[in-house]
Amino acid sequence: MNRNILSRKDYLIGLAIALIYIISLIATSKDIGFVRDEGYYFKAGEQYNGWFVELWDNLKKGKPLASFTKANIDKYFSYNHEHPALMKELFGFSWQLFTNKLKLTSNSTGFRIPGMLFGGLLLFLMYLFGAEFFNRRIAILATLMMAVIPRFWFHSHLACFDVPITAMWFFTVYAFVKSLYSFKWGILTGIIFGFALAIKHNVYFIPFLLLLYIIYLKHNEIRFFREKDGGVSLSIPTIPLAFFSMLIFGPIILIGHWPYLWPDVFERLGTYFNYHLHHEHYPVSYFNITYDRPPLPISYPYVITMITVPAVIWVLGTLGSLRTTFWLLVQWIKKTPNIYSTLESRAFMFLILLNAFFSIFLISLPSVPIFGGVKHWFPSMPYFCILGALEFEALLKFIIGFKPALIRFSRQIQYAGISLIVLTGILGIIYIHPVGTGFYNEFVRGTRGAADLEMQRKFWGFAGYYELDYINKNLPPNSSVYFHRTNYDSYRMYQRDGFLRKDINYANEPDNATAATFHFQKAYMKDLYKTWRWFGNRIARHGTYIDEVPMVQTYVRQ
Amino acid sequence: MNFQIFMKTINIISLSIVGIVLIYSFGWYIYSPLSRPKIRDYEEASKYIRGRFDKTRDVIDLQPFWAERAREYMGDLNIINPRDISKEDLNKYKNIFVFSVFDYGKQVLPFFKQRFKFVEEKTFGKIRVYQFENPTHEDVLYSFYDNLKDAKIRVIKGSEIKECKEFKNDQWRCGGPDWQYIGKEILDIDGTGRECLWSHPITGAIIEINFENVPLSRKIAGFSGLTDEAVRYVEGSPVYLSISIDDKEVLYHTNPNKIGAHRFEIDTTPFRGSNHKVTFRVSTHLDGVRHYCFTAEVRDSR
Repeated sequence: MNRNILSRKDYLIGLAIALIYIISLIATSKDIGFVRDEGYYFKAGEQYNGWFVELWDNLKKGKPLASFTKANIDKYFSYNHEHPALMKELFGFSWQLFTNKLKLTSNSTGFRIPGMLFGGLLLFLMYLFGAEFFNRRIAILATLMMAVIPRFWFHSHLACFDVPITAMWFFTVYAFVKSLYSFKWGILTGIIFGFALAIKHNVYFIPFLLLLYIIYLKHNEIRFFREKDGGVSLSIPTIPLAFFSMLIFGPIILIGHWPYLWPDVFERLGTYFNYHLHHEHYPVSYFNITYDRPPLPISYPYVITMITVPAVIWVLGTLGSLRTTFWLLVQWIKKTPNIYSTLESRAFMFLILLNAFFSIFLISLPSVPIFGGVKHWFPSMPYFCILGALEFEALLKFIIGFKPALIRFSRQIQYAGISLIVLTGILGIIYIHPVGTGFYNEFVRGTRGAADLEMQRKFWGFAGYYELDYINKNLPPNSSVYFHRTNYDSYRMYQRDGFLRKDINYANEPDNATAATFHFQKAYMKDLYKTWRWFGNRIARHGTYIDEVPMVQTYVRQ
Repeated sequence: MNFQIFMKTINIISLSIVGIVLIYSFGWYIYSPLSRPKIRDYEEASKYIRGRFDKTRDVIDLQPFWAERAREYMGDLNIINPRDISKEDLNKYKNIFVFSVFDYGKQVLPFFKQRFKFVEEKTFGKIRVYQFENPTHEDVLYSFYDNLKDAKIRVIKGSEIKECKEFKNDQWRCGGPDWQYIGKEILDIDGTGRECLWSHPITGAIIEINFENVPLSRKIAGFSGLTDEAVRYVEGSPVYLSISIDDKEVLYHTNPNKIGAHRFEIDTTPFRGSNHKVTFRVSTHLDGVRHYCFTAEVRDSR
């Protein structure tokens, strides 16, 4: 494994990619409706922020302890306590700063900015990682491939945890690798891991993956030997400092950032873990079957990855994974020197492979609750893109080696290759925007092919947003609308941000509504039929379609 | 094989795959928008269909089944969009218009051409409309669904008989839990919404739905089914539907715990031209999640 020293230019390139990405997200944020989770997190962010505002007031009054009573903590933090507080606190701070103080953004964009920053952070880190351990070409391609995965681009807009946890997963692993060469990074790894724990529970698996990496890396140092007295002893390598650091800083940051835990740490932590061990199931449509309880077919995350990542990126990632596995096996079986001739480089590639497939593998386990979406295995994708970029590098070398005359054009070839690959992702984004969850790739002929196969294209209730214009212009005053999968908190935010008329009321059922927006999700088709029956007609007054595939339609009572 | 030749072959294969996929991707993104119909296509196609459509006996079949945008233009007309049109009961329709987007209609043309008389094909930009005529279509003379209000409903549990007396919102309520009613619904059966009479069976009871003075003709045709969600949810009991004319059983139909609209037909030629009492009885062994419904019509064929 080569380690390049990162130059100022590298940091600038990484920063430029991240900044362009963040700006593109902020610029398009208003195109994307609020997903169900955002409704809850907007509310939580504002409430949690209220506690900090009150704490500041109490500090000024000289009564800071008033903020720390159980009653006061529960008043602000008992809402949505099934997830750690860090992201919701950041959503609240961002809203307080960008919306309330600086008046720069709408309320929703104010809440969303931290999620976008984490999207940018991931790209920045991916670039640095690629440049440090491979080369700039690989770094740029891997980073851009990640950036243009349409579903990732969609999720990067949201005030949710999935993109932030992907960034922090990547950061933790990156820091751990650096910690093997640096005391400073040994300490920092624990702190980064602690903040990752404060975002989402996915990262509890990271130490086990890192342990496997260390066992691979130092397996020569693991020995059983016979003592003089006849007993058997085990000799193990030095345990990396980062593990101790994670053990210390992880719990400190998890508990320290989350006031809700403080009145009764163990009981409330127990409730948190228990919630995720018995998570509810979300209905998922997969090849014409709706699954609302486990097990999902084992193939699910693999097939969904295959058909939701732009085709050429998936092909490169898959070929790169196969090539890397092949080289590791060749070395293991034949002990012949190859491109990964050192144990250090083989262990490093093993770590990348492990991370590229662990999250996908985890979701495929029959005992895992049905979470559904690709966002749950986003932490795999940066590594998958790195493997894809490595494949591109291998093919580029092959082309130039095959025809030495091409050496003169090697720069043009690599630029053209990178541009074409990234362009397919950009075309995918243009194709699906702003209904990102509906993206299916060229292998299945896009969203229309996914509709043929009855794959899930629309969920999370955000597409109601695209019907608001029709509702604002056409419904009589004081109408009530059955917004179907759009939740009440999202509806409130639409009104607050001026996207929906203030006199429009929220109806829980179509029975007493003037109009209904129906989200096309197979598990909820009964709600469309209920609407038809109650409204006495089946005339769609408006709709949002991708490639003629319905995402949401509006019906009005006759 | 020499290792170098092996690696060279691998590289050529990989390069070819990447190249082909790249070309295919660009081809797809160029083709996809070009193949989409425009709003004008929908307007013209729907205008054409409206000019020929008889609301009492014609139907539009959407191809593909998810082409729901058509409801913006023809939502007031009778539209069906099952996953498999060949499984549907199309006998009662005089004209069938196949509304085809992205040329999906071509896939069902052999089925239609085999069963019906081809009338016309028209193209409106990227939309094609095929018209078929059913020369032997059956007139619907009486619909049990439409006449639910006139039904008399009883729940018989051993010697205990409970009359359902409250009719509200197209539902006969029989007391008990929310789900115990006989009412008009549109339910998700075999992947499409179907109008039928909700008649959730009750363990140990028989639900009896009586229609007096039904003008019978050549046949009674209908279907029964469990909602897709109910079939998915549990390994539930079958549901039994018994149909009697003047208290004489003419059909005993078992609805297994399987997805589908299970069709039935009763030859009523002997009763043709006279009015009779028709009784539907619904029962099951275990009523857990038995989201069951049925519907039927009296038909006369030509």
